[in-house]
Amino acid sequence: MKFISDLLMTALYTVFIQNLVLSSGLGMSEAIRVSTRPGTFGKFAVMISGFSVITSAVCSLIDNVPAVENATYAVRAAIYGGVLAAVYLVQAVFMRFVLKADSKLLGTLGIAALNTLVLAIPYINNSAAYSFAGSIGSGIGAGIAFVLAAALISQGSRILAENDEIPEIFKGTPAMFLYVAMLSLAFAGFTDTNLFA
Amino acid sequence: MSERTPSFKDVFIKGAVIYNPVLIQLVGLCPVVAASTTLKGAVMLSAAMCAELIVTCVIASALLKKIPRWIRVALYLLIGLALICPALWYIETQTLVNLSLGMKIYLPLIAINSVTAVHCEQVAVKNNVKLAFYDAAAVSIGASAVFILVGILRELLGSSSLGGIHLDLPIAFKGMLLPFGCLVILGFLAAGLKAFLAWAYPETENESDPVERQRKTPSAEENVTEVELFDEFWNVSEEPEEVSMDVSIPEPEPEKEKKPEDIRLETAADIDEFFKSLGIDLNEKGDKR
Amino acid sequence: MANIAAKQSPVKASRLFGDYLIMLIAPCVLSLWYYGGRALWVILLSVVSAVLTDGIVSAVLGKPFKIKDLSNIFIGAAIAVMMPAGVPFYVPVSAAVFAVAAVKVPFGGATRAPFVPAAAGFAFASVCFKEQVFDFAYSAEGKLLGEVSLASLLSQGNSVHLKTSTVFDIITGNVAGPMGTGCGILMLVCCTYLFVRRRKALLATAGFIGACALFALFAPRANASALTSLVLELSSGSLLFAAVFLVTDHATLPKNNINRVIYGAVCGFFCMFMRSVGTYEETVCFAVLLANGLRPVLDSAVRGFNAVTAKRKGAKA
Repeated sequence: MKFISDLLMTALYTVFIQNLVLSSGLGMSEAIRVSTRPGTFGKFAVMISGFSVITSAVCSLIDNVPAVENATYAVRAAIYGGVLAAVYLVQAVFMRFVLKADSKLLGTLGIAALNTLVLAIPYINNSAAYSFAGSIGSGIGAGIAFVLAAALISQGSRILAENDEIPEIFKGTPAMFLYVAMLSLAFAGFTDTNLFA
Repeated sequence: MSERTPSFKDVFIKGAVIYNPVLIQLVGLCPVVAASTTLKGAVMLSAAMCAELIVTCVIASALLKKIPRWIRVALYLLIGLALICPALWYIETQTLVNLSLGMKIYLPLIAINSVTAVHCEQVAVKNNVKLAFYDAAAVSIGASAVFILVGILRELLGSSSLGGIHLDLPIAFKGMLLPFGCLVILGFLAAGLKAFLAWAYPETENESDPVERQRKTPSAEENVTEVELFDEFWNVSEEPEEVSMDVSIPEPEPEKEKKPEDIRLETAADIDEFFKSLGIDLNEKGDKR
Repeated sequence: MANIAAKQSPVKASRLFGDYLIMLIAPCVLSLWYYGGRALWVILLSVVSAVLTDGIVSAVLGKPFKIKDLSNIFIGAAIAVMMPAGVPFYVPVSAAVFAVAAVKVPFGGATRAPFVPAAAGFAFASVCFKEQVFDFAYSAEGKLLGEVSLASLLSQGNSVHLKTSTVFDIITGNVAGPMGTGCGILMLVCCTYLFVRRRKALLATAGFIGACALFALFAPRANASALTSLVLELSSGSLLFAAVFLVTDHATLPKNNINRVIYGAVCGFFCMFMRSVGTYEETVCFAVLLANGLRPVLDSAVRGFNAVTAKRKGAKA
């Protein structure tokens, strides 16, 4: 029961209170780019959550190894990055050669796995001292947070596209930046501190 | 290989100004939004990104052309880590520099930033080493300029200091240290760059802006398949090809005739249009005041 | 997409914001009643900053400056009345400048902006000047709880028991807090005016207050009865003010009735959720911004639901 409640609370925290994309800026480029394809959101949610969960679970186990507990951040970065690359490659090889996935699916897999959001999850788990259940919760929350941000940005870009009153120099990326800024400001109502501050 | 390599000036103007990675192409936002809160932090992130981007692009152009894309993208991460981790280890253990927790975490995250992936796949693996180097250098300068400018503005406005020296300004806008503050600054910088491009390079107006291009050609975008879109994102085909220097995303294809089975109900507008074609109006009545 | 934009009826900004300004007379008079000349200065400076910013930005962009649309005056005054009377002048000035320069103008004016400029301005002030925006010490003698605002009292989770006399102080706004938004009775009067002018806009207000009330009843923050929690939550901060002035903003209000109620309810839920788990004692402006961001998603979801329902009906027929 405690496992489930830890998992849910951490996921909720990751989605709303410290929304990893809009409150922390992790994976923001990918969220903006992916937002142009609403049809792929479900796929991304599952893939990002999957990669985050596996990476953070493996890293969480490695963090408990006595030799790693007091490691420098450089060593930690090498471990976390290596684990993510290994998880991605194993998954990609499996999908390429066993499931015969096409280049389209492998491309999506690459974007979902190799971004700052997924690689930051083990650091978040470590700095917040999450339990194993919490680590899995933050992994699931990362996928949901990403899709929530992408959905908000996607709908925002649609209404910006319909708005013909926007001054010429703000049309396009400037208006998009300000739109995402307002979303980020809205999420700042949950917390007034930066991640890793 | 292309016979003639463009001059660094040409590549610089395109890579750093017209297609500025942060302000126009919207890549590499994580380090600038999350970590560029001070001038010192911005300079460190810029240095790490320049080194990582140039080395990765050169290696990608020289050695990785024959490797499938799905393996290459993981190799970029490993190359980046191989560069950044020893440098971070040296700073942590062999010097007296006291890095903040944020910097210890965001510096390694540079290894996985989207600028590297996009430019390695967009330019490096399709061109010779010299051009890959030129492009990486130009893009690094363009991104670093934004990082440092944002770092200066956020430190000045948010902390009333510059380079760690307290300036005793009357007002400090603490919100500027949050991601939202950075995004507001980026919005105004992007608007400034757009005004500059309209004045200096009027022929490129809106051509480089992915958001604006999508706004102007929605019908063409809707016909692009998912494969093409993700290829556009990484801008590659499965097989490396020899192309001349062109960092622009290809022009959208002319609109093809839609077959009924091609209609995808993705947006509300699509749903409305689809039902309208069947003679059903789903729109609710407007605000009756 | 373009046909949706074309369907949006043109709105006369002067009429829209003229109504809001008439309604704003009540909170402004309340501010002057409780805080005198200081309140007048805060309101004046905020309004002048908003108008000047629009003038300057319009000149830079080469756009005509329309003072007659009254939106700048509304933005400045609305931000001011949500501030404490003792706030340093640069706080409402910065908030008004931000609301106009970063929200109203870049998004094409107050009748097209996808976020409520006044809410964005106050949220900006909250994150930049948290201590000043929530410092209610100015002229607090004779107030119900002295310098302590109701929102602050609730956030501490103490035991609270209300008497009839204290309820009167609460609903008349005689409590430390934002200078013009505390009087529930005046907000009711504003609501009545809005009912006459734009009754359908009040559906969002109803959804908002309903969601806040339910949250207050079932998840009270203070150790108090459900009814006490309800009275305190609704009367604290700028909740009722936002319900009447910000949630009903024409540009961000959904176009059909059900969506309006849902939009208001979502806004109310997030307002109370942020109050419970967030770091600010006043969160209504953040909640309004979040609801503004969610509004197109809600619209899309409801349209999709309607489309599926219509399709099923069509299939049956």
